[in-house]
Amino acid sequence: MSTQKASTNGIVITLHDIHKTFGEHEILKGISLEVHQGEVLAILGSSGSGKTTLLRCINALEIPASGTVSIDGQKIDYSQKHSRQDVLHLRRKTAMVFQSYNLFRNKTALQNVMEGLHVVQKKSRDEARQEARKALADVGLSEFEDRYPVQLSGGQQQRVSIARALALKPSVILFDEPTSALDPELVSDVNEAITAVAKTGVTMIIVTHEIGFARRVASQVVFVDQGRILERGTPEEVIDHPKEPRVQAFISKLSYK
Amino acid sequence: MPTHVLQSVLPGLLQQVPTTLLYWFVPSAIALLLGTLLCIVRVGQHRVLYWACTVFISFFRGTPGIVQIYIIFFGLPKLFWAVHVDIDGWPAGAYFIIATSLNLSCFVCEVLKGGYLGVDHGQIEAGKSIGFGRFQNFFRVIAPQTLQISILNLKNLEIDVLKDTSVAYTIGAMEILGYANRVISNQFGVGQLWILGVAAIIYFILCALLELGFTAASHHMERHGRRS
Ligand SMILES: Nc1ncnc2c1ncn2[C@@H]1O[C@H](COP(=O)(O)OP(=O)(O)OP(=O)(O)O)[C@@H](O)[C@H]1O
Ligand SMILES: [Mg+2]
Repeated sequence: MSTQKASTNGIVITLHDIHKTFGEHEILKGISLEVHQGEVLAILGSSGSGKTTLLRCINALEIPASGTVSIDGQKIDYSQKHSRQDVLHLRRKTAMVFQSYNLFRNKTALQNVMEGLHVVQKKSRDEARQEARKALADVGLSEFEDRYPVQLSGGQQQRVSIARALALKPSVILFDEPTSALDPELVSDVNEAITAVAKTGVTMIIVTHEIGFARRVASQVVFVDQGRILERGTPEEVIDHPKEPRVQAFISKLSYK
Repeated sequence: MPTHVLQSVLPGLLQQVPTTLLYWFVPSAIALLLGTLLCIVRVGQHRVLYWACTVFISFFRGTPGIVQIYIIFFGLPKLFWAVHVDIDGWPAGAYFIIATSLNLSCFVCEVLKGGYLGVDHGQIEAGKSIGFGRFQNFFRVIAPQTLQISILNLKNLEIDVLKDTSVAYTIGAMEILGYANRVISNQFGVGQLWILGVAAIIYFILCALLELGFTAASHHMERHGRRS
């Protein structure tokens, strides 16, 4: 299962036997996976299979019922007591790009990106501004730094949110269907931005329905089905030559679109 | 127009403006703080606190303000007396401020709660996702956005509070209306309507200024909502 990249780089993220229930329903039924430094993991799966929930369990926006998450030396075993501080430390190893961008709407593009640098990482305003400008340049939005979110297109907003995540230099960036809320003609800009970020060696986990994009950007693919990982491997293995019938059906259905 | 009536009474009325503003400002400041705390409890998970606050709020929202003022004015000294503290020396205005603060806190709480429920949950999650702690998320995301959504309702509350400072004279606290009434009775009613009219104009001007202030503030808060 380990890719070539993986053998040269250390493990950044380990999930072990993650379970999550909402009320009566067990949504995640024991998920384990590892992501190496610089790797891009794509999570595929049909709607309702638990992909978003899995992603949110990684940065503790949802608290798993049991299992361990460890990111770059920060570890929480959810079967045991853990404090708010533990959660915060773990979460600060990550950054997230949401489906609906979730930019702070009362702040400009630049302020959105500066916020975490200044408030969380305690950098001076000048330093934060400098780094935020660089992140905005990386996603091609230098001219838009003084715009408020409402003054930006969906694709631009999503790129600001990628810059906001990128600027924090987290151990991993989590993407939840970053282009699914966008008009089709804006998708490629955002995908290009993500690809560019991936090339800089940032570790990423991306939930996506875009097989073609996953194929291009991912070094590892997992297919989630009803709260379990049904198949995992390289894009060639999972997307081009899936073994499980359910994965085959899913891939062929999407590829015809 | 009997200008001599005005000349004799206007300076005195104007002298009371600071008191009226004090009776407005102190309760407003206290209510912003207390109302926020009540609101945090009302949207929070703690059952016992939740019900305690709910009872407190329904009392103050469900009884006339003037009754509350009387209850505090007559009841509070007795309460303190029971624990051997003598507060008979307190000025009437202090009771008015206490009663108004408690009353206003409950209304501010409900306004803020409405605002909080209107805050886009995604922004709160975005705050968490970039590593904000609870207090950082509160002060950087939740509070400003709640305030922005609530500002027009707060304005209406505050204008009411400013006008209702005139009720303070019923327990003998001196302010614009109280002073006007005293002059009127000293003069056995001569020029009554003129004096009340001038008082009304002073209230009107104060309310207009408050309105302008709030409009400017809400305009400032909504600058990011405009597309150009
Ligand atoms: N907060 C919640 N409370 C209750 N049930 C939830 C909650 N969040 C998710 N679920 C349920 O968990 C299941 C998995 O949801 P999830 O959002 O993780 O799926 P998904 O794989 O991301 O789907 P999609 O591709 O449609 O985004 C669904 O059945 C959903 O209804
Ligand atoms: Mg989802």
